[in-house]
Amino acid sequence: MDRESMITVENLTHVYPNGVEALCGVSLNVDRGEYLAIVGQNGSGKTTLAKHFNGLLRPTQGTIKVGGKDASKARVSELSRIIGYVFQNPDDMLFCNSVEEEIGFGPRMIGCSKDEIQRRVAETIQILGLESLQDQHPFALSLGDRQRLAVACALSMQPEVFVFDEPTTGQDYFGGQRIMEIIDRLHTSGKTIIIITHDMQMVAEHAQRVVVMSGGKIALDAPPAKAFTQIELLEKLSLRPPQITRFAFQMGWTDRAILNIREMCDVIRPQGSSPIAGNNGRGGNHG
Amino acid sequence: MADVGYVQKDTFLHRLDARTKLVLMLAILLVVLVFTNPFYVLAILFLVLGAWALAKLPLNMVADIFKYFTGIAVIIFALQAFFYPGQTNLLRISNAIPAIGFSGYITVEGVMYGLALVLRLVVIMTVAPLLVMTTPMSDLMLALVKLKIPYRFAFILTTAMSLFPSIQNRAELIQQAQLCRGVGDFESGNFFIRLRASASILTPLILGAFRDSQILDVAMSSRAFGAPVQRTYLLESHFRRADYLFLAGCLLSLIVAIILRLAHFGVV
Ligand SMILES: Nc1ncnc2c1ncn2[C@@H]1O[C@H](COP(=O)(O)OP(=O)(O)O)[C@@H](O)[C@H]1O
Ligand SMILES: [Mg+2]
Repeated sequence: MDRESMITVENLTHVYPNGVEALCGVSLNVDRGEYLAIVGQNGSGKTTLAKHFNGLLRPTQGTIKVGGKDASKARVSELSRIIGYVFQNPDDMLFCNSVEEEIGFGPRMIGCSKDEIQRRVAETIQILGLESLQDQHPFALSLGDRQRLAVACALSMQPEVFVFDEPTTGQDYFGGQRIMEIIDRLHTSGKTIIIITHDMQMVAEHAQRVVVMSGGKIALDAPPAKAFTQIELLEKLSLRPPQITRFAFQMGWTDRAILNIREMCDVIRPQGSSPIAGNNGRGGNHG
Repeated sequence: MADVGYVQKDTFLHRLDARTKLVLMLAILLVVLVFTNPFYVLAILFLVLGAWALAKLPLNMVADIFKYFTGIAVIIFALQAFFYPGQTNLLRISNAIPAIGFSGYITVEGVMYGLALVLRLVVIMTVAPLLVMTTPMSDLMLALVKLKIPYRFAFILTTAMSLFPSIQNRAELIQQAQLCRGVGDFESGNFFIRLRASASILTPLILGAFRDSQILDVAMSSRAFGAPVQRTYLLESHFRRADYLFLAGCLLSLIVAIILRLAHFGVV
């Protein structure tokens, strides 16, 4: 398989001006087209790490490369063509007078032509289903809509990589689902996705790889099916895999974590012929 | 500028009672105002920096403070050096210009007084983090209440103190968000373009502050702020032996300083 590195972080350390060492020696490689979740307790350094990807924060020590460029030197406005960053709080991102203007702002800043801007705005509005809102003032929208608008603002820049900082926090279940659908679609269309989250259910259902952070270091880096078998380590970091995963674990099916209802069905169906059921059957015998 | 909120650490200064630290702060400020000799003030500045090291506060933040302060410091120093009515001439600049009160000479007293004034301001700025960065806001509030300051005022004071860092944080976030959206102006070499870019963060900043204050209002009302009853406190603060010793030390130093001053030490 052809693997192209999108982000390479080596031995990254970041000390804030007030002396807090938020990252200590983080190394990480993200390939083009990956779907990565960064999880960890509050204050474990997730946001600090992500803000290095587009140069919002600069390394105190260590190196970081984004799309071949040295991201510790490149300008943020330059990196923002490669990395789209959606902030945790949409209100920090919005400042224009209408939804349409807001979405067109980024493309205008990076020097797109009038036609190109219009094309991108129309396309983005359609992808996110914002048609009925396009003339509204951003601050008049509901939180869910503002969050979608924030995604739209990143989308219209057409970056290669999307970073979402806790995209579903403060959303109800369906609002969260709606945003995750959009993110999944971006991934299907070939974009690289990095989401920062507390929501293990979301990680289990969407991400292909999970990076667990603790105290400014990477504690675990594996696909969810593997990472979620480390129940003890995760509990120590106040992270709880989804209920169904823990249930399977309690039943002693510990080879591979069960991530969703479908996988569980495969395991407990009497004449299970799927490979997952086979695996876990063996695991049960060993234990 | 750097964030000046509470940073959790385990040092002697962090463990002291917030009241003790308040008294320490006031004592240092008083002593610094008592002396006009810059060498005395400098000695106190070193004491304060020693306390910074003791509290494991980042010393490079002091460098930050100096950086932002240099411009103002130079102006303050120059004003004193030129216009302080001293006797001992140091340097002849020009003929006297009575219209603006300039004697034509820079005097030794002017230079000393200017230095002292600048150093005092540096002490005042470096003393505040000793309290604010080593004490959680809730402890500070409790200390004020224990000192019989009405709860309402204590609340206003601590809210105002935490408001500044929180506005600063928000401003930084908004600027970062705009950078992400391709606004290159913050990184421009041109001062005026940078200034214009800074103005563009005002809209979300002010709207955000309004939203915050509304939320705070609701939160306070729902927790019966200002209810006419004797309130109790979840946290309690207790003086320990270190606090008593430290307080005694502060008072003693203060008395010594005042006696010295009355004996005309430490004045120019
Ligand atoms: N602007 C800042 N100034 C100083 N310290 C900060 C700043 N932002 C975050 N920190 C500190 O850095 C650590 C990591 O924070 P962060 O990366 O935001 O964690 P997370 O996103 O995992 O919750 C925390 O201890 C936090 O208090
Ligand atoms: Mg965060």
